[in-house]
Amino acid sequence: MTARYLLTRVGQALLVLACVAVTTFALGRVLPGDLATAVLGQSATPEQIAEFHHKTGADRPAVEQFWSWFTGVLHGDFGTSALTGQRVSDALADRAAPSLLLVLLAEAFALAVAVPLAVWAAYRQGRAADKAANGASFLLLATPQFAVAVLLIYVFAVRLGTLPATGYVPLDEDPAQTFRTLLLPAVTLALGLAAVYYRVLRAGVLDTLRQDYVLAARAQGLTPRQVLVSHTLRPSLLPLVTLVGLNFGFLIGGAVIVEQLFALPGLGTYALGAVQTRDFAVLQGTVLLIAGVYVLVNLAVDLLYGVLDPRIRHAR
Amino acid sequence: MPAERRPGLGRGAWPPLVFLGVLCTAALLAPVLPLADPTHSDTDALAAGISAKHWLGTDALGRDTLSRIVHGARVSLVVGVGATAIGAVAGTLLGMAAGVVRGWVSAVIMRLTDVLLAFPAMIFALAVIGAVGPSTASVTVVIGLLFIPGFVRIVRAPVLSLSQREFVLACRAMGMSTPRLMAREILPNILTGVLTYAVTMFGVGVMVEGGLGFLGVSVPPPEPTWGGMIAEGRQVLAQHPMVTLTPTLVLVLVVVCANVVGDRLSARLDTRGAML
Repeated sequence: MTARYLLTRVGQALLVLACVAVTTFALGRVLPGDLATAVLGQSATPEQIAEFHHKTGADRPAVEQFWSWFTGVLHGDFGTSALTGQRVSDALADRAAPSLLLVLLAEAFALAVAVPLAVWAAYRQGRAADKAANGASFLLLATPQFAVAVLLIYVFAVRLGTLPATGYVPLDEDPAQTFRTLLLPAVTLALGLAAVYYRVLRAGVLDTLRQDYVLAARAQGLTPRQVLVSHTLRPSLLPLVTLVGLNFGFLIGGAVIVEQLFALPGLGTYALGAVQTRDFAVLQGTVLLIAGVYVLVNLAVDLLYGVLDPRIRHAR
Repeated sequence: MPAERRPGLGRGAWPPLVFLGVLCTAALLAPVLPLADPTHSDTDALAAGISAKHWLGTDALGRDTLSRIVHGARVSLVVGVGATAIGAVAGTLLGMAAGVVRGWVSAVIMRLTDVLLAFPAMIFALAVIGAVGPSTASVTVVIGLLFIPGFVRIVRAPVLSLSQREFVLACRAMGMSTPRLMAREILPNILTGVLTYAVTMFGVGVMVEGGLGFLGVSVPPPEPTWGGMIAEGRQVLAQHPMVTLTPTLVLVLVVVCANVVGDRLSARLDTRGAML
């Protein structure tokens, strides 16, 4: 039963990825404009353009192009960028590091703020601290990422001048500088995430606090700290685990605006550039990688659910 | 508790409703209101502060901020409402179908929503808008498409449990057709949930349109959009922060108001609390 469930889920994930691959390819073909004019310039003769198309394979039938690209991907070859001549797989490896670090940092910040705050607010439900935290989360939920980013840049880069507004230093060159350049974009993402995590966890903890076993734990004379941390937190964490996973998959390459604003060379800006220049090999490769991470994280979250909550495992 | 519960949304819901109402009315009447031309540059007042002539100041090119916000609201509100409507109608139909008609119909719908969810949303929006050209219609449709999976999920879960309930089984046993069953028996039971979610998604739609405008792919200039105003203001952020902050504040306020109304609505419609 479990093995069959696993196989079905993996099969579904592969099917979804294949559909994403076809959609991206089709989307690339309907975009107006041509990479050839971007590379060769407006004064290019029709012969030069035809030669460029022949060289990059753009003059072959669409189905043939898709098939050769798709079989290449199955062999780990994502093709080469027609604009720069760089291998897409190499570029993706370079671009994945900033995106990954950004999301990991943002998730860490968000959880560090949201988890203690949510437990505390739920415990002190209706008090001033709870109301203040609720209000703050409400405001943060309504503030778009780019507005948060602009405000943070204004305060920390323009007014105080303590943190850089743009740029990225690779991890192997100067880790401290990497952290500094990632700080503002990570906080931008973290504020939005923290608001969501806070609300979900607070609701979960409130629900758990009404359970009989929490009453029993209190009656045993355990301190509020023991009751909250060891009896309440773990059963309330399940919905949060799903959300953290979903957002992780969503933000790898999904943080286009933040990457763009802070000039981070991540997957999002790479895909954005490919849309603008019509560099199809790059667009297809990046979208497939981003979607692959999303689908994989989703699968992992579903399986983790069964580990965290035995009732779900048996229910199947 | 239930005895103290008053009918209506409660007092807290009125200020946001009034604010949204005023903004909608102003946006609708923008052409006839005595507002400055949103594209006219007042060269005597570049990036000016609040004055009798320019109630909310001007931007770096001397264009009246109040007028640009009201005209920008036309885009934001139409996109917010239109995208939510597309997502809600299509998502509810597909979600009900996936919940009631099991087998391959359900499987196809759920896999399609998975594909749409797995596709990086912003890249999808940028590519589609790049393909068909930026306009209010294309921005609305693209955001609406991105909203569909959420509505499908919100609808399908309660429909799955509803379709096992006695009154639905009884209707089936009496030979009611599936479309009629969905329209007459299932839909009224899920409508409140859809409505509450829709109010929140309106705010999200306004935010996403702001993001696209910020990246320069929403409705093209000279038509003012809030996202575009915020992006343009960044050039003079150090000297004249208000040029950016005013439209930002309005955008945040609209989304906060939508969220408050959505919250009140769900508290009002959620009867589970009353039973505790």
